[in-house]
Amino acid sequence: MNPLEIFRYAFEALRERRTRSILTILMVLIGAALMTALNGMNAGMENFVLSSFSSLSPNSLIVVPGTSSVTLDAHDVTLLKKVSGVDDAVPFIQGAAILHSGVKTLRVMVAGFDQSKINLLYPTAELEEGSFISPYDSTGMVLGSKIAMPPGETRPFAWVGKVVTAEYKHTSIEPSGQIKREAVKRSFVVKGVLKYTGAPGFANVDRSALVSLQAANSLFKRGSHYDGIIVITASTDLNSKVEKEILKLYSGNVMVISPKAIVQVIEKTMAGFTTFTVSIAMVSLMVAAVGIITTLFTSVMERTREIGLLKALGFKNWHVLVMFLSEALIVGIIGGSLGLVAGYFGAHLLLMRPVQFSHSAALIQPLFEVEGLVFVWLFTLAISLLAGFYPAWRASKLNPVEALRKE
Amino acid sequence: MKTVEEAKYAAETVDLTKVYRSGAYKVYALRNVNIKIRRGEFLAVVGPSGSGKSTLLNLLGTLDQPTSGKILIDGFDTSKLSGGELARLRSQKIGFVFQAYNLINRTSVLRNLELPAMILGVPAGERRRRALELLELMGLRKEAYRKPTELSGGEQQRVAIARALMNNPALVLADEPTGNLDSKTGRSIFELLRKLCHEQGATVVVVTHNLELASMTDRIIHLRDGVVVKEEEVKAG
Repeated sequence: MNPLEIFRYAFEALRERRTRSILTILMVLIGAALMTALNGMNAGMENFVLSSFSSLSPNSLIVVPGTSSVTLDAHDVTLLKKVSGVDDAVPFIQGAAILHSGVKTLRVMVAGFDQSKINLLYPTAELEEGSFISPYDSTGMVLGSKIAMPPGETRPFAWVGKVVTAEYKHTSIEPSGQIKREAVKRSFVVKGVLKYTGAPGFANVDRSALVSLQAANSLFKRGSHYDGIIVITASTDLNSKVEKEILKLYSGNVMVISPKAIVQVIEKTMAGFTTFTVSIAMVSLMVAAVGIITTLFTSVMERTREIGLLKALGFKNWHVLVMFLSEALIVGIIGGSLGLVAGYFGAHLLLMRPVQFSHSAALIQPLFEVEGLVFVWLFTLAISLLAGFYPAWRASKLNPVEALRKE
Repeated sequence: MKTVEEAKYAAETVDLTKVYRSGAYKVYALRNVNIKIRRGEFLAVVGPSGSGKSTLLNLLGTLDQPTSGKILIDGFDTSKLSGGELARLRSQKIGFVFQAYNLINRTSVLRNLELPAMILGVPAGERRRRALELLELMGLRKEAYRKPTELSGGEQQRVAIARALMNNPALVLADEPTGNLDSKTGRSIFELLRKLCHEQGATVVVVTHNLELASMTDRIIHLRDGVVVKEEEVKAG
């Protein structure tokens, strides 16, 4: 007998039990959709987080004070430059400030560093218009693209030539123990606007205002102490060696943050997270498998006499086996295929609204790879077949005489 | 093994014995039954319930295996065949008619008829032609695309008989084919079977407990307690 004929026969049998078949297909569909959507959203999330960090140059290390007793100043920059494997050391001061432009205000990150070295820190940063400011310019400011033109606004917040005021709420403790709060205000002239880099999240240059180091020092009242020094290594391979050298140099009193190490931690964390969420989706496919077993078993019970008849007409045991496996396979194919489509669009639908972070919002795009989709599809089919095997095997072993006698 | 041409009988049993065990007891459903079924013969097997009629039919249909003795279908010794080979033998050489018709109600009359030919691997066009030809013979040509449940009991049984004839079997086995029908319809079914034997050359073994209907056949075999107690040729007329 032609296996295609068996397949067609199985399809007719499924159609006869329409409601039950549709419900079983729905179970498979949900499982496959869940797996597809979670896979896609996880991959999108991972991609998003990684791109945030990879906007920082991979051969950079951030050195920050490890305890409050340690301060970093110009002397440390000279010291760090001498460490073997270090190409450059860029000190920075940064803080959150409120920017006033006319009647509009915006909360921004103000970062002060030598802007001639911007591409060591942000390899993708480029000027849209204007110019970078010199290290001696205490009033010039370069705006990230999302500050110059905040998302959702129709008119720019500020432009080249515009005077803006940065306000910083400084808190200090007096020798008497009193807490002193004062508002520090500095005026700046916008000298340049950056192109949109698209690097979201952490170290977001699009949402930063860049000033000279001394301007930041004056605004944030740091007293010539740096928030940190970015060390540029000769190559990424030297990162861990340089990191050890620096820690030794400061007897462990500084912290060295490596963007590359952060990326590795994120990758590990996301992999664990993906395994976790996908295993949840797999549980729902297991439930679907039990659904297939139940449905097919009921079908075998109801169709015992039909199975007896088919055997009397010349069906071999494997014909019966293939017939019921075909039913399981059809359920798997329909459920898996529709599930893939549902999961694909479902993931897009769920991530349609921007995800809110503390300072910003970002659109996360789900990410689908062909191999991943094919895997989910084949996995669904395999689970369906596996679930169908036991009922199909039981049906194939039915004694035709007893089967025909059954009422 | 004899070839089809050489086989003298459509079916033959040699010392056929079937024993069922129930606990410590042995129940002889059939004991040393020797029957020779001629080609084109219309044979009735009668007897009270528990006499072994159905067992005999199941054994002739190779749905069940004998405890001892053997069965030859169209000359083939069934005891030497594997499960798969028996399935093929049933498909080619045996047609079944059941008391409850056992038609597949989800599909058309035509597709019900095509099923045995489909199992045998007959091409779609050819099996359709054969099915329509048989429906014509049964006077059911108009019902080809209807569902079996839309037909009367007698019509359904005629569809089942047509299905049994699809692959030109050497032997048609009918188990109480009129059990679900009124006496008039039952009689017409027997007339049909008789016509098929005498005009189409089919060989039909029918199990019944209706002696009046049995007298319409060519020969009656009486079974009691698994033993053939009487064989009688029926005079035509």
